Amino acid sequence: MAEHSNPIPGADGHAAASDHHSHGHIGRDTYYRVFAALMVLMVLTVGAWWVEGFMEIPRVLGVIVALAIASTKTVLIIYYFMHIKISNRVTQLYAVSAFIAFTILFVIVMGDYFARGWPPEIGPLP
Amino acid sequence: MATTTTTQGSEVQGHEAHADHGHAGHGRELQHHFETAQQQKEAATLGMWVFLVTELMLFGGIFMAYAVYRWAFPDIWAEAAHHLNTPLGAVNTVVLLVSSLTVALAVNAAEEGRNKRLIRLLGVTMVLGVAFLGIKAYEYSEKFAHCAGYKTPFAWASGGAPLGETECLVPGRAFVFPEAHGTTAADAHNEVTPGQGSPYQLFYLLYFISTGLHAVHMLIGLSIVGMLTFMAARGVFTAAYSTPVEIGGLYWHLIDIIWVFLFPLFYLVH
Repeated sequence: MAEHSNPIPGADGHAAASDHHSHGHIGRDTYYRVFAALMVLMVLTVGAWWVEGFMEIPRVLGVIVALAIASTKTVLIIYYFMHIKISNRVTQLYAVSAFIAFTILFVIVMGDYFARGWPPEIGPLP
Repeated sequence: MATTTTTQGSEVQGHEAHADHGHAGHGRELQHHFETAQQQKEAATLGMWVFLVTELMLFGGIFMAYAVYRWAFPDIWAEAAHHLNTPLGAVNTVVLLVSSLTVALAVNAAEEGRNKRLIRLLGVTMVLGVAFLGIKAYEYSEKFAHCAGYKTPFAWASGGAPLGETECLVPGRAFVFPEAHGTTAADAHNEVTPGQGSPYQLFYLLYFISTGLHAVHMLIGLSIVGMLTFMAARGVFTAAYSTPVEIGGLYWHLIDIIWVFLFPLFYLVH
């Protein structure tokens, strides 16, 4: 990739935070490559679904594959298209915080369901 | 964001009236409460990200509900999803991914101060956005046409070919899930009494809510991109100042990310 390697952007405070932008830049060729990768992943996810149609594999595996591909796409979009790669530390922290918040939501809600017996009985609530 | 851009715009105009207005040492876009243009841009970007995180939590609640009910009714989910139009969903995914590329390239063009290229790319983005909404609208109208007893929306409009079986996948009183598709254990287990919700309806409720909310975001995204095109045509953006394009682009990418999850979760279910 054409960008400067800047492993910890803005790690050393204000000066670096306002400085690294001037040389942090994502080139057009990177955008085209990321787009190509996104299209490949898109074909992969549909292909996996099509294959699962006539192959007996555990249903959970299909969900995991689909979510793994979607997450990879998301990381590519956030890292390159949304410039998180060349953003300052606080912005990067916010981007990550969304996923931490969603993990907390998921763990607490599913934890509650499992504690009450899962899977639930079908039908009206007792 | 709208407030910021408006202020920016009026400042640009107002500048000609005041000879200097204290902007001697830097570009006229810089607001007085920021020290450098860089600081201003980072503040705007961070603010947008804070908003995007709240957006993600809004959709997060829907995804949470989806997870709970799919976990509870995996067989019904698989059966219900087969009545969605997967080819159209796949086409829409490609349309959105291409639009994400054009937005990324538009931001790049704005940073380089290439205004004509910026306007062209924003225009292409809007065309793709409208195409997405058009395909989505066709999918919705297909479901409504089935409720009315016709095969396609066109047949519905022209009084053409009727639908062979009774099917209505729009949540509500008229909801009927076609029974013909086999006597699986799940089916027998879920005899639905009239007027009572079924897990099939739950799938379509979540489908309409999440894709509907996503479509609303597309409409907002389209108006943002339209506004940016208008600003670009008026020459607001330069190589030194293109922050609105950048944070408008962030919003568009968020819409893309949401769809990246909606597509496999609703259309690709076994």
